[in-house]
Amino acid sequence: MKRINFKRLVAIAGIAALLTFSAGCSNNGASDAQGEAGVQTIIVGTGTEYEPYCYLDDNGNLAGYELEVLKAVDELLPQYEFEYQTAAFKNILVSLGAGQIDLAAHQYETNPEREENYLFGKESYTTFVTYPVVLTSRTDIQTLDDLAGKVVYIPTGDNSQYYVEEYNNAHPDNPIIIENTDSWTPEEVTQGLKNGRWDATFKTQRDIDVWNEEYGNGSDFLRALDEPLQSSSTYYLYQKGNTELQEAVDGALKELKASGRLAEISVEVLGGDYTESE
Amino acid sequence: MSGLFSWDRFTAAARQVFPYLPVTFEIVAIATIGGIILGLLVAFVRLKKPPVLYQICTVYISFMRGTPMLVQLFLIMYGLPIFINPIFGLNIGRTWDKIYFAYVTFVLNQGAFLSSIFYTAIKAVPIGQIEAGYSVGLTELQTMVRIVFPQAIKTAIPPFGVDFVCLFQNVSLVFSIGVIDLMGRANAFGSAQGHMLEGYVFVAIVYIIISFIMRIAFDWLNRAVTYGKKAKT
Repeated sequence: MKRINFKRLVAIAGIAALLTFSAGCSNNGASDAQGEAGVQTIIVGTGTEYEPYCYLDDNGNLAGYELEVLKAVDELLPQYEFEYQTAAFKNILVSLGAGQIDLAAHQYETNPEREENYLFGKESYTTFVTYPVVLTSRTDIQTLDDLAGKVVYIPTGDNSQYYVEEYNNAHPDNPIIIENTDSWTPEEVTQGLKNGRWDATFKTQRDIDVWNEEYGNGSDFLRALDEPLQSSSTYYLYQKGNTELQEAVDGALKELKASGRLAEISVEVLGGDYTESE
Repeated sequence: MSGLFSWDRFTAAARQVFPYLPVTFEIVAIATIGGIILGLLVAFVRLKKPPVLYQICTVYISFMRGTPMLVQLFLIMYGLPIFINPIFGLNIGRTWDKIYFAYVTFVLNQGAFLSSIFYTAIKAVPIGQIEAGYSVGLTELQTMVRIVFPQAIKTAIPPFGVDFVCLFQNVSLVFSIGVIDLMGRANAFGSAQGHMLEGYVFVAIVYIIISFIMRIAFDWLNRAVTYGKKAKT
């Protein structure tokens, strides 16, 4: 009796495994199809938690600057069709490395570590000048050096991390204390600054303007220090070696810059032209 | 603190977040059905102890029960394609909707937890019951189905209920692999609005209501399988 039971068991297991696989397989083909006339599907990875760059609108659809620019790029590239996938910020580059997406768009700046692992576009599409941000009342902090021994907030995966660590490597005896957390909600960050959990964080001037307006109750409670932490621009990221896509998108960005369309999108979505210089 | 919470944003959050509840239900349903099938199979392997399969199941259970859910999600999300792609000539990392990775992870996770619940429940049936079954000429399978199962179910239901409520809450982790469920939508709503609290409060209320309903349902189920003399409850 024992034997029959066991055989039956194995058979059921086999059928279950087969069903699972076939359920998965039947779903293939649809989205990866190389489509009509050689149109190639490009999977774009972006986030949902960085208003106004990438967020979900009232109907739950992806919206923001990243999407608008990429839509304009897609229109110029008939050989590609962009498909958008969202993930938590810190996982987008992991997906890129794993080959699950082709292009990462989330206001990425260059740094040597990222350059080692991914292919950067050569054409930027937004400037990104990051300033140390403190409460207006903190007159004791005027330069980055004043932050030594103080606590700064940096979201996990943020580019500021690299530059602050560089500073700390140069000043090992009195480093800036970095506190990383996963969440990236401006409300929490501004609360943390207000109640003294952190002394500073790092943001662009346009982000600071938005925060002052949203959480300042009519007054500017945050200010940027005079000296930026770093000045850079943001680029799309690709898998290492995917120069074909990178060159095509760079070409399209050049065209959008020349025609003034990119600046238009920036003014429309971000409220100012942040495409060439600040 | 007045800026932290507003009823206007709360109602907006409710309107925008609630439609994503079915995503959570879908994952829970698939994880439970798949988990029960897998859990039963694994429980039998543990009872029968066939070589190799038994060792595989032991490792599988200790892995699934001993690692955080979030780690499992990422391992399946990025690890599964490495195994599946070469064998089937597919590229599931790109072609699969992210929710399929959530299905696989939660079925595997539930399979491990439920197998332990089933295994202990079957073991909890006194050996005398099985011997009694054999003594009246029932086969092993008949003894299982007619004598052991009905009694094991009663032992299994309370822990199953607890596990089920936990599963509901664990599903909120799928947002990190890019599946937008209740929690993911609340996060996205919060970041679009610049205010998080309302979305979270709404999600908390939904989860409280769900777990409350689950408790009542499992209480009822528990009474329904009390055969013979009804327990005073």
